[in-house]
Amino acid sequence: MGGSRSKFQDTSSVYADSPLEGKSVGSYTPTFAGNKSGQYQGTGMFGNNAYEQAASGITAGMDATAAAGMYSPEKVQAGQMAGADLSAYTNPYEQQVVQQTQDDMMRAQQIQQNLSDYQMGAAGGFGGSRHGIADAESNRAFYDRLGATTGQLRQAGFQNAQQQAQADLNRQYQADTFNVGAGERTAQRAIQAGNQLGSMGNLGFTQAQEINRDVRNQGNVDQLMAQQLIDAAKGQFAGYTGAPASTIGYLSNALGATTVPVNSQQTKDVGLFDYLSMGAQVGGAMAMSDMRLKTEINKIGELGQGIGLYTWKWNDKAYQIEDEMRKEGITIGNEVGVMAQEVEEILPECVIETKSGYKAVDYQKLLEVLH
Amino acid sequence: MSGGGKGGGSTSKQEIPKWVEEPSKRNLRRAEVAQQIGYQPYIGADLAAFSPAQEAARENTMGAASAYGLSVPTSGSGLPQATDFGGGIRGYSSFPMFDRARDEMRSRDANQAAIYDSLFGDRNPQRKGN
Repeated sequence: MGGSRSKFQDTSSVYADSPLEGKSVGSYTPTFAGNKSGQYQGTGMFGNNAYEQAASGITAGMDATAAAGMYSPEKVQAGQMAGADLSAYTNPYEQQVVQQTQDDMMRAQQIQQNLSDYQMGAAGGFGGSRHGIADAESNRAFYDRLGATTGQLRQAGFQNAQQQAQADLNRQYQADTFNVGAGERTAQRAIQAGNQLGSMGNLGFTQAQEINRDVRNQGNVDQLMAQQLIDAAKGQFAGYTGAPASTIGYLSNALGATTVPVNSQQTKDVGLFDYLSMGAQVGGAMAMSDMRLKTEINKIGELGQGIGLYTWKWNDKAYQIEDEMRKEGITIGNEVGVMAQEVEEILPECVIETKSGYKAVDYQKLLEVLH
Repeated sequence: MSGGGKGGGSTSKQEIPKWVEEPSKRNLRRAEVAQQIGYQPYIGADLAAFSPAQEAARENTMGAASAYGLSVPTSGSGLPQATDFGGGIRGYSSFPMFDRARDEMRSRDANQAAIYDSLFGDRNPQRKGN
């Protein structure tokens, strides 16, 4: 008779493994051996460190969402009264009530019949036909009432049972409907919880990442300081081992910063041409060289091509014509050089004759020719 | 006649003060001694090891990868075991590698190594290979 509830798919096993039921799930086992001293121990439900908890939270959220997605609402069917067994709803005292009512009615009927018999006897009609008819009529009426009364009692009992059964059907239907709604709300809460777990997992992961980054940065600072100590030690050692060699440079460095007086002497061995050049530079390109103006002539070398190098002293005549010669661009010069007459025989292009009739030599040209 | 031929010749001479000359000579003698020292390798730490915080951060990172089902190396960072150099300094020295390389060079070409050593002038009897 009653309504029925049945699941399209039994998801109890899914919920039984759900993390929302307080059981850990997950298809993997974290290999990280965390749980070190000083680390956050957590609840133990989702792992020992933030990463494990984040991963477990996200996985649990996924499982919860998947489980909620697999939820199927219960099918509720309306109950039927047809063919219903109402025995459970029948008043167990109904038969006693009916029997008592019938007994009461029959006793009342007996009393009425006794009274009728007495009246018939008093009237002398007891046992007569009239008495028989009267009894029969009285009994017929009595049994009519008895049947009607009994029927009413039975009808009332049936209707009462029917009403109770209907009330049960209604309550069952309401309960089933409520349970369906509760199931849906539970699934919805599972989705919300799954979302929250996922969000908390993400939050935990992000926070763990930031904290771990801080730990790493601090470690980098620590290592950098250690490296600086090592570099300093290496520098000390290099300074120690390199000290002997480096001190060698101290002297040159000190000399570089000090003004060191250096005595420099330059000596020159004078060659014949040097004398000739000297005569040309001091005396000018054109110089008097006439042997008639010289005295104490002394040959000191050979310049080549048969031209000799001589020393001498100018005579008085030379000094007398010096100014006149200078007007022609001819100087007296040093008392070393060549004899104009000798050069004229070999290199006449190097000798000129002045207005005074004395000869002069172009030492510049002579040097070019001889070199 | 003067020497030097027709063209003559010239010479120059510079005189260093005595107070410079003597120290310079001593410095040269010192340089000759110093070059006998040879090369002295540094056997201390060259590179600082991971700090404890870095190691923790590394383990955390590996743990994070493991927690998410990702593969992680199972044999540490790949670096050799750090050496304790005292004073709280843990690190690595390049000397063992240098030593091996030098031994390898000697085993492969002893003559070449001998030339190097002779040029270094290192005659330290405690030095391996001398």
